[in-house]
Amino acid sequence: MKKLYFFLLLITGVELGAQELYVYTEPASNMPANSFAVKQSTKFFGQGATSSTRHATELMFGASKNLMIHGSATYGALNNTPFGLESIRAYGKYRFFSADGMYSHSRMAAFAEIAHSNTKPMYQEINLQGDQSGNQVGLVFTQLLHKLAISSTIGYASINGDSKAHQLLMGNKASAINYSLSFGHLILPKKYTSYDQTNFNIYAELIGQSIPGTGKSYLDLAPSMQLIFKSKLKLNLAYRYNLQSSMSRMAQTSWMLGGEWLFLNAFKK
Amino acid sequence: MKKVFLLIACIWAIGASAQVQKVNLQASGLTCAMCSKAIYKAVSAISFVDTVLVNIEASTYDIRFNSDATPQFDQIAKAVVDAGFSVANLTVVVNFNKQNVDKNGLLTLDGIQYKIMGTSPATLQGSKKLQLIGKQYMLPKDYKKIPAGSNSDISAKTYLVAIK
Repeated sequence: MKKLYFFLLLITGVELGAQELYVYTEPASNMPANSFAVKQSTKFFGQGATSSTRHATELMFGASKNLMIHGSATYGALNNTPFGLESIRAYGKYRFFSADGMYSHSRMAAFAEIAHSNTKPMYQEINLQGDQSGNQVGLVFTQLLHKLAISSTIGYASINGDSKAHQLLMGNKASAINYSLSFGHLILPKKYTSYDQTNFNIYAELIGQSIPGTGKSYLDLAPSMQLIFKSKLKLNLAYRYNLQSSMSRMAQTSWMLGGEWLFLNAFKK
Repeated sequence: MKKVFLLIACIWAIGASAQVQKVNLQASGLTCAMCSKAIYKAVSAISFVDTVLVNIEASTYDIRFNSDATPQFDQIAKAVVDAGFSVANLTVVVNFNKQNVDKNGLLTLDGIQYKIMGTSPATLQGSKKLQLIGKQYMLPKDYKKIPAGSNSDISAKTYLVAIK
């Protein structure tokens, strides 16, 4: 818990520029219309997982100024299965509120996602990014306050859990409340002079889940750092660890390494 | 009515000697270089835009146009909004050469009609900055200060401007 306070202090106390390009969660802001991004990431799981890595490829489109669409797949050889496709997922986010100040903004968005997974249910944790088939709807609120970007997400996830294995783990209760609170800060550059400057950002994200039907919950803290090269290539390194958990999960700790390439104006009208 | 046409024709003829030099755009709602680059790319992609000079820190964009093109300011604002942000200020820098302004504050430059808000001199001379007045061209707090009905008597194709 001390670590948590330290991170929150670090994030809120330092007077620097802010970012909202979070590693684990999506801000209410969307990518620009007609732009396209590719995200490639690998999660390295700590104790608890029988195999240690999961890869994900995600394609992101800015369909309009308010709507963005993601399609993603995860693959790996988790749980002693041969290396192969584990899951596919589609995600859409619609920004329905936006109020911009000179160096600030408030934004709200609604999102929906649907996921299909080939993996056998093994954990009580509800995870639509690889482990289970299901869907989620939710809201995101993001506030940029000149020096600080804060974003909060709340979602309601339901999984298609009619298999026997799932029933043993979950009972018939297969819905969860997911929530997150994310903070982001720009460390470098101190002063912007060119798009070629490398940016260095730090983030701290609190990510939680509560399954009302079973009374199970967890809360994770994920500090991360990010380099952005030439204002188009992002490199993320994150560590996610458990602050509190009462459910069985793939792992209590994990690392994530990822890259994301942004193509602005990829689709000309 | 004939007089009106004659007047417009006159303004057009005189207006041809004045030139839009550039546009100063200030975008709002962003603090990151990636965001700024999104706006830069979107504005640069507009067909009539020649060059864009950026000050990332101030979020300002100095936009110059192809010599034979007629700049459409609403398209610039749309590019900023489509990139996910807003316009805080859009100011047109014009080099006037004895430009007549009619008694209603109307003038025409390169086929685009402007209405000057408030009292205007009858003739404009030299380099002037015309700030576009409108919801899509200003911060909400600045737009609130504009007297209601300022643009009520002008057509949709006329830009309401204030001389800075």
